[in-house]
Amino acid sequence: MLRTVVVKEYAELRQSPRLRWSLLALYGLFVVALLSGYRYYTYTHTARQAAQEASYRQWLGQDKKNPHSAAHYAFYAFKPVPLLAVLDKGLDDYLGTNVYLEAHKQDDVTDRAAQDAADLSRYGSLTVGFVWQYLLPLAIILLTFNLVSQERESGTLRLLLTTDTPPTTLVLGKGLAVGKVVLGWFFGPMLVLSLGALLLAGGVEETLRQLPALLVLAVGYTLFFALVIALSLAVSGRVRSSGLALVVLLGGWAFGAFLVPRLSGSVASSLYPTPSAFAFTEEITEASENGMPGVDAEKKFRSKLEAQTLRQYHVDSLSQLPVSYAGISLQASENRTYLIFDRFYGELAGTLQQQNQVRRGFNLLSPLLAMRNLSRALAGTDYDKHLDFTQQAERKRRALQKQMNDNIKAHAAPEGTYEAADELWRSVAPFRYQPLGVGTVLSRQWLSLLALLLWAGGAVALFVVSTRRLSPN
Amino acid sequence: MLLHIIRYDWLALRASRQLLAVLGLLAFFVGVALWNGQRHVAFQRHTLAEIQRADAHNFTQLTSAVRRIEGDTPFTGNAWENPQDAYRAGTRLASHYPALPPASLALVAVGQSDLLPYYYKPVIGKQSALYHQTEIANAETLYDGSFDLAFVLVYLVPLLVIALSYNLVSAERELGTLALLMTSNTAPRQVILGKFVFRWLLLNGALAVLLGGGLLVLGVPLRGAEQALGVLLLALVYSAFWFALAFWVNSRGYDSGTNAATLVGTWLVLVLLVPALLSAAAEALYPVPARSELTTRTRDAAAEAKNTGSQQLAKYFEDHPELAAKSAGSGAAAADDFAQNALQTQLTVDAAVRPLEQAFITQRAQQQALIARFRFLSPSVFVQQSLSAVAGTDAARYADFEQQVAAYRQQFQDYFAGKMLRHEPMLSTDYAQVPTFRFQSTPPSLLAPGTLLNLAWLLGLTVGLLALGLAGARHLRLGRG
Repeated sequence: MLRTVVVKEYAELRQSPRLRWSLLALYGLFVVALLSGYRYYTYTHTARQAAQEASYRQWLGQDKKNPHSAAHYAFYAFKPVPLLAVLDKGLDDYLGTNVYLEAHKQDDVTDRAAQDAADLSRYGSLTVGFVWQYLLPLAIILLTFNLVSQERESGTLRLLLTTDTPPTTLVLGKGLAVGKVVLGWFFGPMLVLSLGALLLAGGVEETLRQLPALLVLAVGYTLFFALVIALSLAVSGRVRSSGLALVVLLGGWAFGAFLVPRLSGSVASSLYPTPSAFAFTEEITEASENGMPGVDAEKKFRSKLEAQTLRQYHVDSLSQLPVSYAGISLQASENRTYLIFDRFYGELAGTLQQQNQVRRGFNLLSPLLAMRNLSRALAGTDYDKHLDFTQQAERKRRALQKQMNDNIKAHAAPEGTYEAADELWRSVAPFRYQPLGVGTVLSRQWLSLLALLLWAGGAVALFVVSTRRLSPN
Repeated sequence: MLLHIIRYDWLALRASRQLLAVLGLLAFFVGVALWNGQRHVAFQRHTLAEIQRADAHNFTQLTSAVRRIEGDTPFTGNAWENPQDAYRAGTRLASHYPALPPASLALVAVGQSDLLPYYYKPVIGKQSALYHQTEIANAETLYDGSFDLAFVLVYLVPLLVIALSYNLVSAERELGTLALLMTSNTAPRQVILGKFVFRWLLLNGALAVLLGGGLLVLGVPLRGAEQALGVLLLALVYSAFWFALAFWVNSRGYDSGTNAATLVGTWLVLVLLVPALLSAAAEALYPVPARSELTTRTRDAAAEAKNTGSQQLAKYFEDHPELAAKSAGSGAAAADDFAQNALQTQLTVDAAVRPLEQAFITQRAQQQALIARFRFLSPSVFVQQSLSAVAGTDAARYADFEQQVAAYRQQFQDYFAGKMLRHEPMLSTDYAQVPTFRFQSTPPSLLAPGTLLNLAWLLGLTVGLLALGLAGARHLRLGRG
């Protein structure tokens, strides 16, 4: 019986001018989105990779010099663009792209592309993710809102309820037909086209590496579309007229897509305010000079270190040391500042994560936003990935500085006369970002996953309640 | 007649929950937006005040430190903290922060003020280093934008208008009262238009009260009164456009569902798709170079500077002959001077990356120009831009600020370069001579030609839609469309 309903509804949907218009609009936008995603990836990925290689080349090209000069020269770490940014560049335009790995100082990850963009880009950019998260649900609403209510308005529902087909089968059939349209006409072909673009942009090997994330993404979207269909049908069955059903659904869509994110953003930033860049820098400078709990003030630290070193090597003056004191003191002061940077950058990242957690909590109100978060996270264009890059880059900076300082320490020579060469520069490996695994990403997105599952459960419950109590009037 | 219609429409509206819901939502939106905008502006003002305090304190400290040295207490600290050393002063110790203070109505539209820097710390050093100085912000919040008044007016008010009016004719038809209406002496289109006008007045009246009250409560100075009226005027005309659109859609005789879908579809196109497509086109036509390229070129130029640095310094002397005479006397010793070397390197680097830096500015300007040409495609775009302009948070003002800061940095650098090349120490009286910055601007105004043109176009659109609607309402269909 269910089969017959699906076949009949599917045939009807295929005839509907609404489907034709939706297809036309969505594919038009999808093509533009996919092209600009492809362009973004190929252009930006190549540019960053080139810059990363150039920076390392410049490092290797250094003349003979004291390793501490080299430590100041250092090189840059560039955040690689993930392949799935072709589909969802997420927050990439609003996050920094590179960081300088210089001596003494943890730098900010700078160069947000949005600053170079026109003001219009603040309206959001057209990405494949945007089409799937925002527009496809809208198309589903347009295809579904009157599927039940129209039967009631034209009086056919009364007839249908007298047959021995249970109402649940009837509505489920309609839902499956819409699902068939969504997967067969919209999402499926779009996914294939996307895969083509990924292969073209990143090659076979890289695309295969992204396959698990892509698979999870496909499952996530399917669940998301299914819950939108179930909700639309539930509303269509409950509300007194088709017009009202549409208004309710469109209102819900606008609420979840536009109101919730801006509202949650202001709530999050008022609950967990971030400091100004000025205050942040001042605090770090202050702690570096005058110390903080667990860290001595600069002067005290220096005299303590001197005394400690003399004791350790059993000598009376620094000139008697078998090693270079410069190397010891440079590394010791690096170690000292690690505590300071870990605290302040840690607090800042913590505040931003708390803000994001508040936002994800709000996403319980909007499956669209939960899906958006999941998509960004899997694509590797969200804040978590950015923070991971920041931390890996900082680890590289510390390793690089330690290599330089150890080398200085091992070469006791009159102040500033020691020079290292090529060999030392080459001993530092280039920076390579190691992306997070899909499992880690998913575990950090538990709130988004929970939101999606709760909505899916809620949608099914609403669907069942609405269809059980289906009344012909 | 209009009064009569208004009276009965009022009674009908009051009886339904629709009005209460719409006005309640409007009050909630405006309240949140003003609170949020005020918070943002207060944060910026507080930060700028802190900076000013720290700045003044720093210069007092530096002056008294030099005075102590001049009073025969030799400097014993680290060389790079010596306040008498012009190079150290210019690169590290003595910078004033140029600031862009928020305009009086800045709370209306956050605009670009959450993304672009509103203060800088210029030092002698790469010009491009200015770019790296940005305010700390949550990328997710930047991406989504702020819940400010501009968001309420541009995005949400049209939705409220649609909610208030999508079925004004179609509901009459669906309830069967349209036939009744058509038998009356008054032309039905007059009654219908009356309802639209009434709702428009009601919405804007509520908005005026909320906005006026809100601004008074928040203590926005009266200087902002003219601009506040400007904001209201924009809201009045923009909401009129949406009511006119709804009127026209209603006059075409479709059912409520089709009306709602058409209106929300138009909203989607104007508020979301036109801007997104336009900015995609701007980015594709005038791509901005990669910042990473700038990083690479800067370093390559610095490596090369060792060879060509003296040429750059020679060029600098051509521009500043007064310095050349004094510097020449110091002869070969000058070549060893660390400060001079650093300056040479930096002049070389600045010269090498200037074309690329210029490319950023030109491409961005080209993009902005393209958008300005096509802004008329969507009233949402230019109303948002006008609101940002009134609030003083628009792209143009920030670009202006950036350029003024670049010019100031040049002035700042010239001051210290002069000191360095003349081998002069910083005297205790010198710190007061370090150039300071003051943002020069005309206050944002509604009467800017661009804004007036926007308003004229919007009015034209509204009148056009009204005319179409009136023509359509002449032959209202009683049955289903």
